[in-house]
Amino acid sequence: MRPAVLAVREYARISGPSIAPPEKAYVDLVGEVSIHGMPIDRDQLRKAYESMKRHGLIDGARIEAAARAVKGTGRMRAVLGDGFP
Amino acid sequence: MARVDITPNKSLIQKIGLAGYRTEQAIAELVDNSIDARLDDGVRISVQLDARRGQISVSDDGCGMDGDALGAAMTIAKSAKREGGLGRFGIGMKSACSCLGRIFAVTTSARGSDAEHVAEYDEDAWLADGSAGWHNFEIAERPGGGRGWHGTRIVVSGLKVPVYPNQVSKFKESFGVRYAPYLESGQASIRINTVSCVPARPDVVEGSRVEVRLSAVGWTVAGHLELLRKRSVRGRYGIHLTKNGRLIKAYEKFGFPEHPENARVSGRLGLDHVPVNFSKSEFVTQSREYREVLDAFAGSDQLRGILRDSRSGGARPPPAGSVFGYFAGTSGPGRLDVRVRSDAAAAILDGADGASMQGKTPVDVSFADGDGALYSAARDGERIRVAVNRRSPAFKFAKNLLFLMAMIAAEARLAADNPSLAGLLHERNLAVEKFLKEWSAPASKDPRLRGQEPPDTAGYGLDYELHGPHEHLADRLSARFQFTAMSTLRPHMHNLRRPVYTVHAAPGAGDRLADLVSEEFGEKMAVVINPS
Repeated sequence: MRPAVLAVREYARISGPSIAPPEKAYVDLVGEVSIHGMPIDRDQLRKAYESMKRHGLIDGARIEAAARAVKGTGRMRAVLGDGFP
Repeated sequence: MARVDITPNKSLIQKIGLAGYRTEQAIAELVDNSIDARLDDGVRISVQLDARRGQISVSDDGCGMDGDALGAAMTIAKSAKREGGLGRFGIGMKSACSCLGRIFAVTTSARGSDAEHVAEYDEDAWLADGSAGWHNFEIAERPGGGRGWHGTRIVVSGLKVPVYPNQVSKFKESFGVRYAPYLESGQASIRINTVSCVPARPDVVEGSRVEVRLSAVGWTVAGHLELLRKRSVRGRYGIHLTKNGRLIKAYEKFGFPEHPENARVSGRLGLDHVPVNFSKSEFVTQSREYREVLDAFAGSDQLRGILRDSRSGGARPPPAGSVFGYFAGTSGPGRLDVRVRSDAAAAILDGADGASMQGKTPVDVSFADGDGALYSAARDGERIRVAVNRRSPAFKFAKNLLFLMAMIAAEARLAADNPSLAGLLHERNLAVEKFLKEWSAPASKDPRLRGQEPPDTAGYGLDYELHGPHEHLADRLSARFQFTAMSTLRPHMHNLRRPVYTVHAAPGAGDRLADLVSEEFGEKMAVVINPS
């Protein structure tokens, strides 16, 4: 089995003591791709978003709040276009 | 045609100090000169960082200089260094001193001379004094001042760079890497304040070293590659690129991309013929020489092999002798791993020189190269001597199941013709099965690590994959952290070929978190901190 990769990012804004909710996780992923160049293309990001939406994991208001909290609404719009609430 | 005076402006010394050196690089320039001045029995170099007096000094007990040599050393772009030395351009000392401070004094005494010569440069006075110029730079001679010592001492004051206490440990570490070959061979010893530099030895897997020798018309590059025992989470992996033994680039990802999977690659490569910039901080990467070496190295079998080892976890077979020791009952089980490549196993065997198995009848095993069968055994008095032929096709085809069938068929034929042999073969098979059982890597009890893919249903990640690691880390880490990003989204990232987790940790807690993850998951998890 190829080893899993764990990226540790030292980051002052941690939203809570438990595993991040999907909305925050998605916003963080978009940040990883846009700011830190994680090699994932935007199509795939869009598909992941659609898949999560289909499964009812994404709440429009919460993802917007999560994006705003990290000043990431511009990045989210660049990826999701009109799909961003 | 008009001819004009193009004597450099007096501000040139001040301006070459703006070469963009870091403090450590500037001091290294001065240390380079000291190393170039070493005698046959080496050189002792002392670097003093004196924050209280605002001084940096570098002194050595090398061959020193006479008045003419000191004049040449103070001349910009004049180098009297021999080929193969660390200095090249005749700029380093002046630019480094000017980078460090406004005032510097060079005091030197040549070996065998009683005289001491001193050159002093004071930036403000030099620029203000109209009578001082390039043609009448003053070198003071102190007859008798050099009695009892030889070498060179450079004192820089009026510092332009900060000096602070933890620089000593920082420089000790980086000089240990930079000058490792000189420190190791005893050609130089370096002290920073009261601390001695020791050559940096990466923590590598024993037996993983492979020599590298690349050549083409007009050049040869030599070095070695090794496999680090642990992945470096801080990017401290890669190749140290040197020129004439002097480190130019440390931890360079040379010929391979920066990636956690490659984070166990370590090595050193001497690019002696490749040009460097005048501050010796970079190779000229656009040069033909650099590109030729890069291409040759990137395509080399040695680099490919070590990258493969780094990716696969670097599973290596135990020494051949330990197998015989196990059967003789003199050593415990080792560890077999199906990921071990046959060429790695062959390399281990190549290095083996034989083994002895004690028992009622002692057995001596020797390894030899020949054209004969896999092995032969003969009684020699009280002992049995076994000669193993390392060039037997058995090693080449050991992984081929048809080869295994051929071995079974040959033994079945023997057993059919020699009924007494059947019991012996049965015992042999039991012993080999026991060997395989005891030497195989134990299967992990943790379902996360067994390579089992969790069910691909929405939201599984929260329950199945992450709670275990989350709880485990939460019990041990007092700082805040949170699994986020792809860890929670993986079921929706269909094209990912492996698990990728991102975890946010409070600033400063990254190292501790990485350690805990490494302790818990070992080679199953490659950790990288703050990837860019």
